[in-house]
Amino acid sequence: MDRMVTSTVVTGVGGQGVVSAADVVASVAFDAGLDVKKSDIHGMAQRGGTVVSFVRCGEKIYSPIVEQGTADFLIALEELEALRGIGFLKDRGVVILPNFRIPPPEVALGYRAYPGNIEGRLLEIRPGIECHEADVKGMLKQHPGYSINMFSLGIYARFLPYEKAVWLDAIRQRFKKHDTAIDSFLYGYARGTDDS
Amino acid sequence: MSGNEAVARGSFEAGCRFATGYPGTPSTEILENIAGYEGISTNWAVNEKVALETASGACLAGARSIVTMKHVGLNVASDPLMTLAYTGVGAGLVVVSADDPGIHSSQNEQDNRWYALMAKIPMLEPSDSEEARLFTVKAFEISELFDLPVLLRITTRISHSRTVVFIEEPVKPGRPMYPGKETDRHVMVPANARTARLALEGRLQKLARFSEQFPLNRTEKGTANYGIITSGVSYQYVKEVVPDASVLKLSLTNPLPVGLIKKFTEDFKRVLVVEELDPYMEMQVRYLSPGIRGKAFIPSISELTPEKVRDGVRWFVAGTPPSGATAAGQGSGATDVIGRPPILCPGCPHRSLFYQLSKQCSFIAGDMGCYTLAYDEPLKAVHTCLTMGAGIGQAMGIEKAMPEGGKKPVAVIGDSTFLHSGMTELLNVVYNRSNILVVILDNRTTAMTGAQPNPLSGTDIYGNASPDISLERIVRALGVHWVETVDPSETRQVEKVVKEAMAFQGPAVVVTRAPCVLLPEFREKKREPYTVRPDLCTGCTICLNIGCPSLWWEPAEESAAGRKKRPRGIAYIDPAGCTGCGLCADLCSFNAIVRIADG
Repeated sequence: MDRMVTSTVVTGVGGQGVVSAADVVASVAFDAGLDVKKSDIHGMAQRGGTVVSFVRCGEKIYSPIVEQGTADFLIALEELEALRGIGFLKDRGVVILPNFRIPPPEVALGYRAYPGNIEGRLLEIRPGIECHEADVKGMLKQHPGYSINMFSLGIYARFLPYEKAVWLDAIRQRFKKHDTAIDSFLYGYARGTDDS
Repeated sequence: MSGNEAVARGSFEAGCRFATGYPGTPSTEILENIAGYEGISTNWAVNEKVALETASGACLAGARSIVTMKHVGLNVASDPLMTLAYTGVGAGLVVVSADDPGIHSSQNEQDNRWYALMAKIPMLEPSDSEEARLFTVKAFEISELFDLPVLLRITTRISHSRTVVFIEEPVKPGRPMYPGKETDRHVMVPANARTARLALEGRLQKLARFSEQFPLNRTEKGTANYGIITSGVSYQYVKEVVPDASVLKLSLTNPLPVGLIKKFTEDFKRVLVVEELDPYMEMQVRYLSPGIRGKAFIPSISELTPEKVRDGVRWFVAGTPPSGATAAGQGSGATDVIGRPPILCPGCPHRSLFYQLSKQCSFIAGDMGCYTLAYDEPLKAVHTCLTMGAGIGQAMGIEKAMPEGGKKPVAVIGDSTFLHSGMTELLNVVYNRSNILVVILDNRTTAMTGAQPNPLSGTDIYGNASPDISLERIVRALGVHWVETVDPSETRQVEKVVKEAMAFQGPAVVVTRAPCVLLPEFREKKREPYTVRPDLCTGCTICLNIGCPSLWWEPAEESAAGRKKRPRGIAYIDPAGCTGCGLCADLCSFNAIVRIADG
C-alpha cells in the first residue's frame, strides 16, 4: 500500500454533493489504514455557492488543507469550478472535468458569458496535467436520475489502488438511500481509466 | 470525526448533563451531535446570552454543562461571561466559541481569544479533532479545578475538518442536586463582587502555575536553530511546512505559560510566533525577548494556510520576503474566474417579498441569515447587515434622522433572528413612536445554518413537539397595532399588503409565512417544474429580476438549433432546479412561462 501523502480536492456548487463525495474518499483511505484529514468549506454555500473539500491521506498527515500546486487529483463536479480550483493541482496531477455547467449568477442574469474552452485554460495554467473528461451530459441522457458526484468518484476510483468493493462499502455507509449512488459510481467506474 | 462531532463526543465522555447554544456556522453541528447522546439534556436557546445563563443555572444544580456558539455569538453572551469568573461555576462549565478566520460564513473575523483574557478564564485551543475531544474533557476538569468557566476556542478549520479520533469510555455524570444558597458567592452586588474579584485573583495565580506544568503545552525538539510558538490549527501548518523546526505547541493559551515560553526563547534566541488572526500570544510575550517576532512575518488578516506559514517562516529565517510562488514552484491558479456567490434558493417563497420591496420601498435595513442574500443583483433589496436584530434599530434610527417626507424605512428580519434579538428592538420602535415597517419573514426554521428548529418551528432539538407560540401575538403584545400576515407565494396579496403597510402612519409589521424549501416537508412535496416557451418569450428579462438561480438568460447565439432566433436571447428554466413556485410565471406578461406538463 502506498503510504505517500495523496491530496485530493473536490470542488463544485452547493447542492451537488461535494462534501459527501469527499467523505467517501476519506473513509476509503481510512479503511486502508492511512492517516486521513478532510476539510470542507461550506457555510453559506448550500445556497448555490462554491464548495471545496480537501482530502489528504498518507502515513502521517498534518495540514487538513491542500497547498496550492500540490494536489494529486482535482475532482470537479462543474466545469467553471474546475477552473477556479486548478491552482490546487500539481503539474502532472489529474483533473476530472465534467461537461456540465451551472451558470453563476452573473451569467444567469446575462451580464457575462459562461467562459469557453475551459480545458484549454486548465492546460495553459498546468501544462503537465492529465485532463480526464467526465461525460455527464451523456450519463444524464441515459440515466437522468444518476448523481454527478458519484459518477465522477467512479472515474477517480480507477486512479487509486483500492478494490471496487471497498468503494461500494464506503458509499453504502455514507448514504442511507444508496442504490442510485452505487449505480452512478459503477457507471463512472466502468468509464474510468484502468491504469493497473 | 469532524471537530464539532469530537467536541460533542468529549462532552459525552466528560459526563456532561446539560447542553445548549444558538446555531451559528461553524459551531452548529456540535449541539446537533450532543443531542444524539444519551443522558445530556440538550436544547436550542433563543440566543447565546440566554444559553450561557441557562447553563450557569444547570451548573449550580450540579450538572456539567456546555454552551456552543459562533464567535459573534459570544459577543451576545459576553455579559454573563464577564461576571461568571467572579461567581464561579459549581459543576464544570465549558463555553465553545467557534471562530471563523477568513470570514467563510460570518460578518467579521474577530479573534475571541481576547475574551478569555478579558473575562479572566482559562482557554484551550485544539489543533485537530482528537484534541477537540480530549480538550473538551480537560476543559470540564479545569473548570471544576479552578471554579471558572473554560473557553474552548475552535475555528472553522477545526470544526469542519475530519481527522482521526480515539474515543474513550465516558465518566459517570454527577448527581442532580438542588443548589445551596451561597449568596455571598452568587449575588454580585458591589460588596460581594469586590470580594469575589480578590478571590478570583488567587485562583488566577494558581491557574498560571498550572499552565506552566500543563502537559499538553509541550515542546517538540527539531534540528533548526530557531523556534516556533504556535497553537490551534496553525500548529498543523507549521509541522507540515517546516518539519525540522523546534515547536512550542501551546494548548492552554490563557493564561500563557510565561515561564515555559521564556525558557524556550532562551534556548533558541530567535523565535517566531505563528498564530491565526490577532497577535494574541505575541503581544503578551514580546517583552520577554527582542528575539520574539510574529505578525511582522505572519499575516493577521484571514485564515492561515500552509503557503502563508511557509512564506512567513522563510522570510523570518532567511530574510527573503514572499515572492508569490507556490511550494511546487508554480504560479497560483486561474485569476478572474466569474464569482459564484450564494443566493436565495430556487423556489424560496420569500423571494416575492423582496421583489415587492425593491419596487415599492426605498431603504431596507437587513439582518442576519438567508435574507441577507437578497442584497445582491438583481433584487438589491437589502441595504444593511450588521448584527442579529440590528436592522430594526437601524431603520428606526434612519426614520428619526431622515428629512421629513422621506419614504418609510423598512427592516426585514427572519423568524429566528427576530426571536434572538428583534423583540427588544421592536419594543423600542413602539415605545418611541417610530414610523417604520418591519417585515418578519417566517420560514419556520433557522434556515441559513441548516434548518435548526426555533420556538416558532413547533419542535425542539429532538424533533419533539414544542408549545404553540404565535408570532403575531408576540408582535401585538409588544404594542404593534398594525399587523398583517401574508403567504408570500400570493404575489398580488404581497403587493397589496406592502402598499398598505407603507401608507400606514406608525409602526407596521408584515409577517410573510411560508416554510423554507429545504425543510423535509417541502422537499417531499411533488414538484411541477415550469418551462419557457421559446415561441412566446420576447426576451424582456422581467423574470430575471427575481434572481432565481434556476432561471437564466440564454443568449441568442447559444440557443439550441431549431428554436426561433431572437435578437438578444430568451429565458431558460433549469428543470432540475425549478421547484414550481410559479413566481416567474406570475410576472411574465406574455404567458411564456408554463408548467412543463402544460407546455
